[in-house]
Amino acid sequence: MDPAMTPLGKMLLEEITPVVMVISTPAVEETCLKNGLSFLQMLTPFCSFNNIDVPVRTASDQPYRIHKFKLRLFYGSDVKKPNLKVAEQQLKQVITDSGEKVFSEKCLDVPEFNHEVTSSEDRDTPSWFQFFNKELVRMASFSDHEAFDHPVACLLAVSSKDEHPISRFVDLFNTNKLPSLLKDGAMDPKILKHYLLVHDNQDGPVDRASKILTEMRNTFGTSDSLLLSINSSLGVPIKHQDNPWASQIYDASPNQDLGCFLSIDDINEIKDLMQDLSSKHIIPNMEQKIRLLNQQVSATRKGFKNQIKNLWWRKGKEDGVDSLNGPTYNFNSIESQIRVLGDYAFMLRDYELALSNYRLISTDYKIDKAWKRYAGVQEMMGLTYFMLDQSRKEAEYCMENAFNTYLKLGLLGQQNATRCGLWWIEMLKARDLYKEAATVYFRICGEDILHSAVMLEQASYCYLLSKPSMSRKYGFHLVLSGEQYKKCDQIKHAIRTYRSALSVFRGTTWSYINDHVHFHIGQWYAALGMYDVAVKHMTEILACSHQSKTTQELFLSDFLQVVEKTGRTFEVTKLQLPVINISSLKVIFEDHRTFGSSSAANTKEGLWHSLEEDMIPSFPAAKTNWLELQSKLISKKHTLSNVCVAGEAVKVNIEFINPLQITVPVSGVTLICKYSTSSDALASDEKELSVKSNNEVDHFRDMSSYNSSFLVSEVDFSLGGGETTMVQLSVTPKEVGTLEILGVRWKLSGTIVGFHNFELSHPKKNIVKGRRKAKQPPNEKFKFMVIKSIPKIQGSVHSLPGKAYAGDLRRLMLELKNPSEFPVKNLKMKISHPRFLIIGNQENVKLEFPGCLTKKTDSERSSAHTNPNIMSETIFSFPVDTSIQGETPLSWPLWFRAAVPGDISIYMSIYYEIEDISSVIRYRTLRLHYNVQVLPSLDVSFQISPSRLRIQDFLVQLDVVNKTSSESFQVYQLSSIGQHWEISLLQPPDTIFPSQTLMAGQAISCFFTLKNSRRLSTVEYNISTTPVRSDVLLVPQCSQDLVYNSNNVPLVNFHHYERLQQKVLHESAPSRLNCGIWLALIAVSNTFIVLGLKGDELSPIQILRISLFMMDLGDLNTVDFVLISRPLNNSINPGLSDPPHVMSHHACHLSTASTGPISWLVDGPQTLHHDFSTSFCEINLKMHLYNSSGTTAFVHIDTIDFDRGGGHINSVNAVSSATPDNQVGWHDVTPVNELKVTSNTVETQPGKALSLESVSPYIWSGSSSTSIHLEPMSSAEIPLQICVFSPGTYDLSNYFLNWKLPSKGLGNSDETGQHSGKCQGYKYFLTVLQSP
Amino acid sequence: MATTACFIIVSRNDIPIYEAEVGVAAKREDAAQLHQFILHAALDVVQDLAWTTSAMYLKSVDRFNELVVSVYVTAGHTRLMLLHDSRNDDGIKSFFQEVHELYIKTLLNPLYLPGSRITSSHFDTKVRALARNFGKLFLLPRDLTAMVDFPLSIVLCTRVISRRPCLESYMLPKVVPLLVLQFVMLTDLVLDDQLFD
Repeated sequence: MDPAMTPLGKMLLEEITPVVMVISTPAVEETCLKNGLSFLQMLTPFCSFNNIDVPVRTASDQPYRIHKFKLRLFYGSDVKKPNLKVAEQQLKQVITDSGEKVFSEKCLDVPEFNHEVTSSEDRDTPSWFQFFNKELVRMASFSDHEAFDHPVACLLAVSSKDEHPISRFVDLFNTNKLPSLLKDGAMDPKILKHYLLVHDNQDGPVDRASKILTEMRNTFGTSDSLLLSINSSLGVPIKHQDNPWASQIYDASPNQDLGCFLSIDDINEIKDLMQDLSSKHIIPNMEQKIRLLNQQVSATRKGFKNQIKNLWWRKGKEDGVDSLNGPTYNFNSIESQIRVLGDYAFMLRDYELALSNYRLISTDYKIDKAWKRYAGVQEMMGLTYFMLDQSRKEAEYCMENAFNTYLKLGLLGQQNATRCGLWWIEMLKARDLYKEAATVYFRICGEDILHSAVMLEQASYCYLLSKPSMSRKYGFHLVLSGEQYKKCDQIKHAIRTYRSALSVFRGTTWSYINDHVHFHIGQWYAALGMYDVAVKHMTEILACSHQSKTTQELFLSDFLQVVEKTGRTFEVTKLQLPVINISSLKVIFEDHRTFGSSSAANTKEGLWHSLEEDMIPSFPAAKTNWLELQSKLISKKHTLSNVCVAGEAVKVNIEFINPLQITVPVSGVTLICKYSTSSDALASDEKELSVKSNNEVDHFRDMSSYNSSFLVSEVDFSLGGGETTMVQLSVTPKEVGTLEILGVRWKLSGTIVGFHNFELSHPKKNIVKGRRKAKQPPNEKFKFMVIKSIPKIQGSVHSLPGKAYAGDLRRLMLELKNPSEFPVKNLKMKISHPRFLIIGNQENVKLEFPGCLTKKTDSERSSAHTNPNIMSETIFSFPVDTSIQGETPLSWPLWFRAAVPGDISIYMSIYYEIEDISSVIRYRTLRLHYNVQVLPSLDVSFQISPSRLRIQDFLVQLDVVNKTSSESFQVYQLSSIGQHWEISLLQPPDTIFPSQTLMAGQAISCFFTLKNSRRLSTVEYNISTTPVRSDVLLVPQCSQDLVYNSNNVPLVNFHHYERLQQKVLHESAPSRLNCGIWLALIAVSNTFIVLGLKGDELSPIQILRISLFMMDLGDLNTVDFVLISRPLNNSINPGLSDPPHVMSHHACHLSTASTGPISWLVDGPQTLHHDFSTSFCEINLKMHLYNSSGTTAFVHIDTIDFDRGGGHINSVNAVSSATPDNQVGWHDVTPVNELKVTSNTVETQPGKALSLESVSPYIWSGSSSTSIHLEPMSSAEIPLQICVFSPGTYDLSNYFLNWKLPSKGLGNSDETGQHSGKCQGYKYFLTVLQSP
Repeated sequence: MATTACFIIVSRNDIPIYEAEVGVAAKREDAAQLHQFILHAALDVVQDLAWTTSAMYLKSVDRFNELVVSVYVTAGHTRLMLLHDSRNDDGIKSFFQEVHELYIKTLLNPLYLPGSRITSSHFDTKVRALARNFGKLFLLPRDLTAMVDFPLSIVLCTRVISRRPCLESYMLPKVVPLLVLQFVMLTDLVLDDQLFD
């Protein structure tokens, strides 16, 4: 790359050129002013020569040619340091003007940041940068420390009109008027002089002028005297096609014709004049001077001797003046001459020569500590290196060195530093080192704020142009620059830079940056009075939760202030304050589903769906045939959009979040809705889409206007710092048609209206009811088809307690109301937890509670006893004639029992059909939801063990613990369910409950005997019941002797569900139950056969009931208890609003048959007298056996004698040890404590018996083993006999009882029920005494 | 003293996922945005620099006036950036390494979505504690000898020596004799460990 072709090269070729000092008389100026130009201006365009060919020979002998050359013309008065103040002022004006211009040009939207577009520099950087930089460079001109600004020639111009032109020429170059450079001796005052006589052709012919010229030639020499005649075009002003002056003069008004009197000849004459001047005089003059100076320098400084001398001499000078500027150098000092030599060589483009001289002088200045001169030389060295295009590093080093040195000088070197920096930057730019250039720009920034602003902005562009482009740095420096602009009141520039920066920062999540940029742009726009744009930017920063509280307050107050200044309520589409939590958005509407409470509406749809599944008539999914095409279309349309009913509110729950720490008042929160009649719905759809895309805000404004076809609710609230509020908004359509919810609007602080569109911003919706989520286009979710008003039942459950103790039994009232005039029919109801809530009968309403629970003396409702109304399916159909309409509500009793402790959600769904057939919706459901907290109350447990006194008698231990913290209860009654268990107390109630109460935390135990009263051997549907005493009062007999009937509604119903519940628990563990169930199944099949003959009076439901009943019965060896307790009235915690009256605790499937289905009892004398002297004693015993199972059992009794040796015992052992493997054979897995049938005890038992020395052996004298078949539910007696040989006490437990049930071919491998067992006899002590 | 220190974690998508002002200087109102600006701009430099070296710690990559930006780039191109006004390469390096470890632990949390903001208060307190520790270290090496005659500095010196192996090489000859002298006199002071906090 040719360095001369780079921007810097071009600049240097223009700026570092020989200076010609022009001195003219006023008459000359006057002549020129006719053309609207000064003398200097007239000449200037012809000072740059692009097409000359001048041979140059400098120090070396080799000549070279210069093709381009330029002269700089300055008036003598201008050859001095520019006035800084004036220059600054001028620059500022330039910046301000350009600011205005650019600002007005720039359209208000921010250009999108794009890497492609920013590839060319010219396009992006403002053009005035060039001008600004040039001016800055010029501010440092005419310094005495560098020679290229020193005039090389002087052009003296005198008009032919002037008196005594020759003496005027002499006067003009008077030392008094000369610039300070020449006067002070900084440069050689003997410079080349050229004498120009200017003649105005309008003043007359050239005769006089020629005369003067000859005179001049005589005086000043032929070659130096010239004549220029101008203004030769007479009369008519000439219009020049491309006016050479136009580009020169900035402030030229366009209508002014520059050079209007200059004919083509005149211009040519000027051209020739200047060309002659440069090529024939100035260049040769400079050549000559270079050669001269070079000789001098060689003589004094070149060569080893001179160098040594110089070094010595400099050393000696060191202790001299040490001022900041260093020593002053006269123009004829060798240092100045070297510098002049270098500069001249540079200007004549002999860079090698220039460089060698600069180098030479550089060290001298450094030693002399002439820092400014040193920096100047370094600067030139850098430029020379650049122009030579060699040693880039060296060039940059020199520039940096110069720059730093200038900076060190402080204020003195300020302008020079700036100029040096700019050159350096250009140098870096020419080599594509934009990043480095940017850092230099950054370093140029000095005291002057305005300058640094411009420099920073230029730096930012450099970052953008660097490869890879550093957009973040670009943004940062733009912001820095913008801040500086702001400091010197260039707000428009500041806005411009910030807006450019915004293109970088837009979309980033660097919150502080975004806030800063938007806030300041907003503020500045507001300062300019452009409030609309200001508000637009300010809205971006409202949700600044990360900022400190004071900043938040500042932002908000500024924002409100700006909005206030706009003078109207501002409407913003995406107002971020408060934040709307769109994921919390919930639309609650009622089509065929209606809700009793908001909690019911918030319950998952799936839960309701499963509850209502078999209650709601299912519509056929596919239409039957093509004839129904029309209806299909309609239904499709219906299914696509949601349905709501006129007059019923559609509710929308939205969460508003205040991200700030300050309180924000929000008012007038309403839904934006759109209503259209069904006919124009489709047409408006199209229209609406286009409207949306056009202008959102306007669209919303239209929509928010009052509309008579629907009503919207309005909510006001105030959000504290960080608060979140759930707001329920509603819209109530009044007419049939289509209603669409578009969004929500609210007013912030009473001035700004915010909108939030549900659809456009968030296509994904969390709609609760939408069943066809996937299929629905987003628009449809907020679209409702409004159908005409249909009845809606309102319902509630009265007096349902929020808190209850476990076991609490209550009667509740369900009240249903139908406010509309249309009747509804076919009511059904389903409850999710029948264990807690069951539906009563209509007649229960009249009964008094809890009196209705007690047993009446006359058992008139015996049918209820035998066939309790247990509903296996939970759908309850109200009587057919039930119809609710108008004022009178329908009340229906419900029974509530708190079954288990915990938080229970009870769901109820009521189905009803609408009699009006024409409606789209034919049925509706009312959904109710209640929460009940159930607290633990009594902990009841039972333990049953067989009695040893009587067969079929059991001992029951009841343990009751009061688990409450403060309540006292009265344990009132224990009942067994079913008719075949009779219970009675072992002790009178007084002894158990002396205080009649169970205090909090207290535990008691009491004992009962339980007797199986069933005497039945055949399987029959209706078991004949003899009244047995199945209820026991646990309180002393008193006046109000009420016995609760556990076999009546609702206790029996609750018991049924308890049984179902507890059965699940039981079945998970191995139990004996299955045997019974198995039996019941057989029984059912038998019953079918028997009853099937009787005809068709049995419905399947009844059969099921029978079978269930049989199954209940089948559990022959289990017993169910109900414990009824009552709270003591005075002790109830007042926290419970409604104290409980009756509490029931149910215990089911308590097994009595702990030893298997066979129970036995050894019966015989306890004490006996015998005279052993006569004979041994034979004692007869009886064993009673009872088979409680339903099949014939095979029972086998083995007696063991002690002295029969180990053989038999061993065999037992062998069998016993096999049991863990569950092998076929006799085994027993019953873990009954008192019988000790584990193999260990079997082993130790005989040993223990033997070790008792006192016990004399006895022998079983009857048959050693007896086998019998025992019919179901029957008993048998087996005689046993033992022989005793001496008096003593004998333990007659040495026998085993094996039993086996036939497998009936049902050989299920997974049958957990026991088919066989082996039990050891229990202890029976017999004392035989010697009779006296 | 580390008067200004702003620590920030930038995800691979150039989103700041954790920010903390860990300096001890009183917070100026515009400091937060200035720090963000500087760190954000420094990403440009990191972007180039990260691929030139295999080391994770990039030392100081950028500066703005007195403030220096040190960067640590993890393998997943998450950048830990620290803006600070004091030079202590070792301290900062180990600070970064510790924070990197913490960050990895955060990543291992199955509930943390990589690239999302780190809101864990545990992480925050840990980072601040680390910054405090290294903040002390920022202070010491430079002025150690000047402070030796001041009794408290003895205590601090012992701490520093125990923590910073590099210090021993050049500091010990000067410090240790003084230490031994004053250690005896100020035993109780030395034992009073609470002086540090």
